Amino acid sequence: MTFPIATSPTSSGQTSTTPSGGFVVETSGLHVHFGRVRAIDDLSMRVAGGTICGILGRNGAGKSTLLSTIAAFRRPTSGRIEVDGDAPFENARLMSEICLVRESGDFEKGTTVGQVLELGEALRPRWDAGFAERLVERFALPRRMKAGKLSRGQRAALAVTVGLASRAPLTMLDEPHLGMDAPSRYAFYEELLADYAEHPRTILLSTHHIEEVASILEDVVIIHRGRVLMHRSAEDLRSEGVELTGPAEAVDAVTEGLRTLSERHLGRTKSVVVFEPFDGDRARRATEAGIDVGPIPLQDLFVHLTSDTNDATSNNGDTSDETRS
Amino acid sequence: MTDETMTEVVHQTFDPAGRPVGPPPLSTTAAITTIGHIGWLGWVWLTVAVLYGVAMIPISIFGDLDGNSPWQDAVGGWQQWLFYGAGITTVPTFAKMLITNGVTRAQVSRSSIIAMVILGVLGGIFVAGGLAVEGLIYDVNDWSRELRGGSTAPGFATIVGIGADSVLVLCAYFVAGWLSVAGFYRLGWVVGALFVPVAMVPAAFSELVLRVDVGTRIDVLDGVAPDLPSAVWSLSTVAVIAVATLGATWMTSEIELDN
Repeated sequence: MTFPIATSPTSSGQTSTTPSGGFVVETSGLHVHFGRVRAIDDLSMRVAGGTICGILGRNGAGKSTLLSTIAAFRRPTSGRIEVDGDAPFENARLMSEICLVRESGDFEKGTTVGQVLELGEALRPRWDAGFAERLVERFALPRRMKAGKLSRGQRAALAVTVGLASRAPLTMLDEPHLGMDAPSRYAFYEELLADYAEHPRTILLSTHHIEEVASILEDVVIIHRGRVLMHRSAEDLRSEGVELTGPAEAVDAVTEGLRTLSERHLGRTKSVVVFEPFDGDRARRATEAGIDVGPIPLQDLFVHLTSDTNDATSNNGDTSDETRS
Repeated sequence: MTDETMTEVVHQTFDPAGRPVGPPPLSTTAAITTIGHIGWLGWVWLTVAVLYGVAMIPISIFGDLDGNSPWQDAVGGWQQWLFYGAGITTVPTFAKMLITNGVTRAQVSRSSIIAMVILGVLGGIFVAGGLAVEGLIYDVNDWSRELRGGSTAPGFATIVGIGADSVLVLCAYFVAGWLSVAGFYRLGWVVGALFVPVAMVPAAFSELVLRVDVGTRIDVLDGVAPDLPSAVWSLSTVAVIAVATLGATWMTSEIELDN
């Protein structure tokens, strides 16, 4: 007697559990080159299944190339990508379970909104047609309008609709919501969180609206010049960076020997961004010296870490090899 | 009964409702490519047929068409270029649409091959069917018709032969278009442009060895190529299309989508 078990095969002959919690994504020594341009340059990371992970980086950092390579839109130049234990390129099982939506939407201009949804229903194994319809209504998308006639915001709304309704165990959103106005973006975040809670999966979210998504990210990968500059849980990342503001002499005293990312002066008041664990003793001394200690916004941290003046940080072994599992 | 037999692993994933989850079947993706092409090709055929019918009505009443075949001259002669265009859309339209929806390149190619054959058959029926209907019109008006190649009273077998040769020529042009565009994706713009003449070989070969209009070889090969039965030329065209299709499939297997 055979009892079907919710498993999926891997090339190694092993089986993995049902991807209800989302696929694990792992890269090792990944390179993607375009001629002489090294878009991805020895990138290694591991994203646990069932997390919402922010992929942050400046323009040209390699975010889109990384996501499109994971989605098997292209083959890596060298190195290894594994999704749920297998290489995704030309892997029928994985490709149908990986959904990458990009800002362009990748829609054929002549197809209508309704046809885009029909395609998703025909090709995506976990497509939720009811959910898609609800999102179409929420974003007020005209079903009969051709994709080429949609506004940038409508195209973005259609892209996130496809991304969410696919319910793929690995869903990647490469800045698809950039063209949406603020109310639509917040509607997207709301739908994303609600659906993620009900249908856990791995979500990689690339965005420039860092502060907007900071509260929904569980994991943060910062990519700089094709490499992982930092990989932390969002909570750790915030707690590891503090901003000290107070009398200049007192601030200098408590930050002596610590790695500082930036300094600002206003009269005799000084504000310093420290990127190191700020332990209890230091925090007590700072408080006694009348220094305000507060977390720095994720976006500020990102700007500090990826600014050209902090390039030394990107080459610092303290952060570039960070991985989480 | 052992534990192993009780818990034998089946390589199948199920959704929370217990339904099997897996990649889309070939029938689904082939339907998408085929219907996608028919969506525009069908309109062209319908428009051409209607225009032909509208033009024939006053001619039947007031004119005389003894001699030539408008269907052969004005319709049948350029169908292959529609198929070349259809082949060109294989990668930028259908491969992109399907790959971004999680379909492998290999399945895209298999779907395109199915679409090519179905469209080729429909195209052959369109060309041959038009000739047959035109024959009826000529008979009703008591006109005499001479097709290019000298056939003055094409019977059923001749019409079927023309249709069969049309299928091959249309498929040859389709795969030529597919190869042409795959070359740009795979080899880049410069080498891809240089590859176009190579990609056109299946189309050129089919034109040389099959005379679509009357189902015989064209005059240019008389005295140059061996005088073989037309079936041999048809089979050789099938072989060329098959090799070209393998090449197109191989080139499609590594195409990359832009960021």
